[in-house]
Amino acid sequence: MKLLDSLTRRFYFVTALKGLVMTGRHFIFNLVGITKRHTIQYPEQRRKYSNRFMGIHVLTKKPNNEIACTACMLCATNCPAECIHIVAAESPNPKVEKYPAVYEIDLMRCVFCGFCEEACPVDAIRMGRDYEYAELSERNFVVGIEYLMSRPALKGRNVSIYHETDKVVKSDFQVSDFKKAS
Amino acid sequence: MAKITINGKEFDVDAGKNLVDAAEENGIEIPHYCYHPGLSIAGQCRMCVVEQEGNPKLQIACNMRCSEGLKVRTDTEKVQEAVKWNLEFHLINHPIDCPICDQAGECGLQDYYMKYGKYQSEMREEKVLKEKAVDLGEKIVLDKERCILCGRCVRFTQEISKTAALGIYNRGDRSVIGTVNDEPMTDNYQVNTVDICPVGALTSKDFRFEQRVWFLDEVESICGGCSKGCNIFVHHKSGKHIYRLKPRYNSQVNEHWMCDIGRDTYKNSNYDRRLTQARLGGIEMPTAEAIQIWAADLKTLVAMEQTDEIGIWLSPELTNEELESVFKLFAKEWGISKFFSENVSAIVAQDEAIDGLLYRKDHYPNSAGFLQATKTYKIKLDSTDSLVDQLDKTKIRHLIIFGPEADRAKTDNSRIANALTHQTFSVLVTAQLSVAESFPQALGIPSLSHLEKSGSLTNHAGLTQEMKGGLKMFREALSTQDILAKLEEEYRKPLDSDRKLEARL
Repeated sequence: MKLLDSLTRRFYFVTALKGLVMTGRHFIFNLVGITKRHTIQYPEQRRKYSNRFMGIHVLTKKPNNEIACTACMLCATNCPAECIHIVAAESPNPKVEKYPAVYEIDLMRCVFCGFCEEACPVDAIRMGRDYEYAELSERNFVVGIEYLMSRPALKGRNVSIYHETDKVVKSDFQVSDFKKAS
Repeated sequence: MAKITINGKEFDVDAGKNLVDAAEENGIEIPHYCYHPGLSIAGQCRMCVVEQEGNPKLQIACNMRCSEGLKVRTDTEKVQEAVKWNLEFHLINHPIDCPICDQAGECGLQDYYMKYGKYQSEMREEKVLKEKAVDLGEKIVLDKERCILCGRCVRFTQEISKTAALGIYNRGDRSVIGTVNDEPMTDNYQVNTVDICPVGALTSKDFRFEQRVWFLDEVESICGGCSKGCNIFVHHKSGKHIYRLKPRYNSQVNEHWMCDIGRDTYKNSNYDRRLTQARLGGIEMPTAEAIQIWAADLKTLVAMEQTDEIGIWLSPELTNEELESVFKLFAKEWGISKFFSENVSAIVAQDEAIDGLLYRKDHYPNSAGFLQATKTYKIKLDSTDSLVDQLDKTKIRHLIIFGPEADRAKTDNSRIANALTHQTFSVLVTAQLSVAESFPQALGIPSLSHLEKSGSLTNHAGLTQEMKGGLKMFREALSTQDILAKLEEEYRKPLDSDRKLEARL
């Protein structure tokens, strides 16, 4: 045994070989799919997020398709990242006094904390579920009313809850999945 | 002096003083809506009830004068209960549309509700609906629903502005504030009703939806609209934009009030009306470079001993400190004797209160200080006429114009601008873009606007008041003193040609 010990110590390639075997085993097992992989094939496969996931904001509408926001600026007051910019104005609708002429969120500054959603007294802003947003220029990350209220990803499903109860989208995500994944 | 006892504590106050004011001075808050120290006592809101010793019923503090041995309590259960229920009654027909109300953040209802509110309403009736967003002329919007009928505005129009424009119409829970046939208000003091309105019933059109009040910071200043010198607060957002001016109490000058023309003067300080960069012939340049050009021209004239060809036109809106530095540098140091201005002594002589209240005929804030400064520095002032005459005869080759703000000296300015030829080098130190544009041939140097300045102003009655400054809208604008200091520094530097000579030697 002494001889073997000295050999292994002297011939380091034995250990190197052991390491290569380990790497190779993982490579082959992953390739064949014997071990559970932690990564996913992203654009084709998507992870399921919790219903409470906070993605890009949604500005809700009234049933007559007007913006629900009254431009009270409580979201901008509460925002820790100071990423909300509102310019209030007299609404063209005579029954409504105040509305936001400009409502901009700088998505690069936003920390997606959801404080704006909590501050809103009229449920005009909610945290949406979409998180994919890529642009070539930073200035394009400042999104306005048009995008926040009726972007294609919302698929027209955007009315405030005080007019119509939202369908609860049940996710098949479970806590155990999360544990396994991490 | 009288010794009174509030909540078991003894205070020495002036005899005959209103109890609400006396309590506030000593740090005890008595809630009130209808009482205003500048107006008569109405006793309508019943919020200021206190318990007086020896009196079985609750009394209103606003109608109580301090006298020796007065003993009141504001902290008993009876008082607190009464205040709570009073507030509940005030809120019966209030729409609670705080999100769209401009008063939110400085609203009496909000403040007292948080302190004394009865958080669960027991009112089951429908609210009485009234007119919203009623147009009351150019400056005011009235919301009849939000009104709690304290009547402060009505008393203001009756007692202070004396137009009696506003009144309370109808009866019971349908009572509303309004003008006769909803006619517009036209006087010069109407926005004061917005200031004294404890709720959001009267709101200013100029400030409507512009900004939420909790974003605003305030700076103390003096209004530059006329020679009255009203004390004001400047409300701005982080030094980038001024949103409004509010009167600041001063018993000697304006008390609680301020005129609407003065309120509009803040617009001249905002970025869109400011000269933001030094410019010459439409080309913008850094201020330091502009001062170099200015100093070079001055230096050649002084070196050739032609100081009598330098003229200076001053506007009587400069502060005493600015005038001092101008006269010290130009008159004392460089011996320039040609100073021009509008006919200030005539303006001061004709000065009077136009409507018997605050607004005065003299539109310059410091005419009296200006005359005083010319006397102390023994300056002989010439009129604009003689300046135009001398410009025509090309007797002046270097003209320096100090700061007319806005349209004040419009006629004088256009006359000078027309008389300027290419033979005269002209420098304009101003804060105003419109003024700089009226002198296209001049070297424009941006200075501080009136509301940003720190210094003192002497008003029509000879009262000298201090402006603390503390506001700077953008970096490029310098105070007149700084500009003159830089000019002097630049002037003392040897010319480039001299430097080259020295190097060669």
